[in-house]
Amino acid sequence: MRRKKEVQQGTLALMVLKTLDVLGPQHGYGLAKRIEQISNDLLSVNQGTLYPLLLRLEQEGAIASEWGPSDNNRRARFYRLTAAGRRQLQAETRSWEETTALIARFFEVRAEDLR
Amino acid sequence: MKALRRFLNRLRASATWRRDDARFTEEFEAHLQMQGEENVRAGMPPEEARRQAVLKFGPIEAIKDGYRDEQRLQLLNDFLQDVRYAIRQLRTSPVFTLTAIVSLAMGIGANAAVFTVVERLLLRPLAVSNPHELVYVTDERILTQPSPRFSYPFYAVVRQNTVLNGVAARSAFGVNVTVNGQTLRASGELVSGNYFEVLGATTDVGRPLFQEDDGTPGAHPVAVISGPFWKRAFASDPAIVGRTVLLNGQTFTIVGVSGNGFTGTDVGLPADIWIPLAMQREVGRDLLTEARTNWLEMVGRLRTGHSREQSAEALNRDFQQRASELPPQASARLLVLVPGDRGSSPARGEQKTALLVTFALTVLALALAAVNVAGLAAVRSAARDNEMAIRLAIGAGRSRLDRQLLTEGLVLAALGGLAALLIIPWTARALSAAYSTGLAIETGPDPRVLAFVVLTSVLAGVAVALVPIVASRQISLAHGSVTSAASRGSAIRRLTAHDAIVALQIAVALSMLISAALLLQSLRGFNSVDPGFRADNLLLASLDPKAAGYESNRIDGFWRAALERISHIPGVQSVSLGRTVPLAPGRQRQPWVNPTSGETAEIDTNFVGPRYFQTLGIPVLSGRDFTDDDGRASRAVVIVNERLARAFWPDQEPIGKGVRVPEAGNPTAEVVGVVRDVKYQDLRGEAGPMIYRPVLQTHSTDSMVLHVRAAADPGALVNPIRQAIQNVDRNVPLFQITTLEEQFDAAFAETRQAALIAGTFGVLALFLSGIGVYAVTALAVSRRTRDIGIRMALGAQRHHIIRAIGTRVITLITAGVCLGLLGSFGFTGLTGTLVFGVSTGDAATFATMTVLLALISVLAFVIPVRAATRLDALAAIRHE
Repeated sequence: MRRKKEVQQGTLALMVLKTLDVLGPQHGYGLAKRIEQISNDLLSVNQGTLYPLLLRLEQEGAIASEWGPSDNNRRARFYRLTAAGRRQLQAETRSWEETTALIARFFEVRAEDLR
Repeated sequence: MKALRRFLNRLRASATWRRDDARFTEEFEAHLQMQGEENVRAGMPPEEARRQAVLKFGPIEAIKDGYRDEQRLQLLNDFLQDVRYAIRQLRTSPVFTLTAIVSLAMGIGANAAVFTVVERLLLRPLAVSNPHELVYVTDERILTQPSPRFSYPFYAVVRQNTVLNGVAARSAFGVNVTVNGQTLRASGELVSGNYFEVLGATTDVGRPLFQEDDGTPGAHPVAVISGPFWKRAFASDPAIVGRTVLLNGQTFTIVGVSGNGFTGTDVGLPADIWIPLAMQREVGRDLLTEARTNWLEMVGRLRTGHSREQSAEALNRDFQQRASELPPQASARLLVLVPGDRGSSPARGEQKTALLVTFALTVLALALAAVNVAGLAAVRSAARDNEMAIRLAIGAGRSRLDRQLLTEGLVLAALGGLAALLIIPWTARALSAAYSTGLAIETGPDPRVLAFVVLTSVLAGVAVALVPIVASRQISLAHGSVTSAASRGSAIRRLTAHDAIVALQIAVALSMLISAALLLQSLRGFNSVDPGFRADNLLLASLDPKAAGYESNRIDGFWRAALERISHIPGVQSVSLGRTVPLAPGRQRQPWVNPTSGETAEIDTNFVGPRYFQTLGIPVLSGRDFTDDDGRASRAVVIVNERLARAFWPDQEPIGKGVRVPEAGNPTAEVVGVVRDVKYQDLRGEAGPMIYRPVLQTHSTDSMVLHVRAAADPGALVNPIRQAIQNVDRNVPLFQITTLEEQFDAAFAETRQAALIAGTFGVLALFLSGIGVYAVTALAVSRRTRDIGIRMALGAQRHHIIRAIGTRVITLITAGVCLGLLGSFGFTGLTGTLVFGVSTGDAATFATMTVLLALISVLAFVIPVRAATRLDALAAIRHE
């Protein structure tokens, strides 16, 4: 059995924002499922922990939410990205890319390069 | 921005105790439904599908907690929880709580009251723009006097200077204001046209006075009134601009109402109405060309960025170049600039020291109160060691416990502060009345005082919490609830500072009590002094006919008509007039020549009306009282008191003798009566020589005081008398209505204030020292409960136990009393001048107060000790 990885909250927030950006408004269950799918079940998220995070993002103004009908016409709360959330996503994406690029360069370094 | 928005959202949720659990529950349900359907589609039976969905969702309660944490502010929630817990704790020991709240309320309340007066009189800047640039322009010679004054020509020269950003002049005067046919007395100010501009004072309604309003003498009948006067005399009439009023009988048009509560530069003596200096003749002055009469005060504004010192130097150089047109005496004056940002007040100077000393005393009292409450809290915390140890054991952090104790201290102090707020208006009024007789200070709560109460409460709260926090540090988790012998020892050693403070409290309480008792006895002494007149049922009211336009040829008729009408009012036994009132401030002296020695001396002289001595109840020893016939047409007469008779005509009959009247053209007056000595100035001293002259012979139009002897309550006569005066002339108002008894009381005001303050602090200190002794004893008992149990089990008698605990407490009570007695001698040195009719070292007083204090202290000691000796030996041993 593969060991599932714990996710840090910041990372999870970024995933939520990105998912909303790509797929448009989603309800909580939908978001949980997408994140699970994309990570190939690699990330074990206690699905419920998503909800405190969603509340926090909403309080920060990155997302907004309202009640709406789900696919099979049940009442569900739909989350969508706000303009502020989109800016936050762009900024965090950039910084994430910079970090990964930096780390990547360190991984490529060999001993002779540093002489 | 992001963080702020989130914070506000959470703060709102916390503050409203909103629990948005409904939203979470609904989302949770929807989530389970969807996951369950998904699972069913994947082939699970419905029961299993839901179970799996719940499992996948995660630990529901933990997530719910996390959700709530996100929703609200954790710290605030903890704090609110602490507060609720603290209140529960405090309710379990109501006696401790009440004592603590009362002590803190008295401490904080006394501080805030003194602060209110200090702030109003000493700290508050004037309600003008950039008050720190304001300076009084004065001169060295009169720097020490409260109101430096200059002549108008002098001001006209100084005003031309190019150093300051404007110099304004002002002169206060009492004015009769007639509004809608009703005349009332107000404080007016004659001001230069640039007054409002230089001071930077604004108007709420209309406009201020301008330079153009101060041009041709007599041509600008305009006035600006103060906000409070607008409210008082015009009921805040919105159409005030353009209304006309009579000022001393002359018509003026109101052009504006001052803004920001500005009432001039005299703190405690608010101005009601301002008119241009050019109108001084219209209100009864004629001083614009008078170079020898000094009547103006000058206020200037420094140029921005210029210092007072450099400006003063430049101003004097500038003045010297222009002073040639002034008399040489005037041009030699050296100008001095005094800071004017807080205006001036007659209550500063000596009273400032007294006020600051009182402030220091109240701060000390609050510190003592806090120490005491902390001592009590330590007693309680000793009893709570168990609770604390258990909380530590089940995982509460030290900091969480500290926060709990701090919250309890703050809650206590907050309750004390709240209680203090209730008593502040009352105490501040009493205090300001005590410190500044006749000054109007607004004593309502304001932001600064509130801030002060909050600050002192927080400080007191922290101080109160510190002791239990330090004590809780000694609770060792390893030992559980059992404190080690070592820590107990150190706890007792630590309290020696506390002991010293308790001894100090006893000392302070004793010296205050002794002073208060001496001063109270002085008050009784005053009441038994015979002033030489009858003070009961005598109404006083001032009249200023000159302000209503009377000149000396018509003044006679006015007085006669007024006295005639008042004498017919039912309930009036007798009525007369006097220039000066016994025991009231102000005296009039004239130069008289002693016919025996030939020397001229300034002698107190009172101008009085007919039947003056009958009205005041002053016995006429020989000769007669003044009558209606002592007027201009008859020959000049005087009445003298015994002392003067003895000084002027030793061993001779004074009746029928002649004295030279000070004015020219009235060579001699005949002595027609000798009256008993009256203490006009000071009850403590001897009566001085005194000469009485009939006012109807003096041509004086200055204001006089009506003296009305009533059959019963003089207050009921005020309206009939006012009506009678109105019938004679409706432009003459009554002002400064009072009674002779009030004047009499005012004469002891200083002693009464001192008695009040010493008494208040004495009782406060007595109360505090009682609590202090109680706390020290109770703490000693609670720390040694097991010890006591063992001793009793081994056969110790009660008195052994009492002695064991008592030695230290009795020692500190004795030390406190000795120190207090020593201090009393020093303290009475301060108040000695106010003590009257009793020796400052009065043995009976010292003994009574010492016994009283010792009794209270011993009582505070006995209560906890009695509890200790009632202990069951076995229970006490098992106590820990």
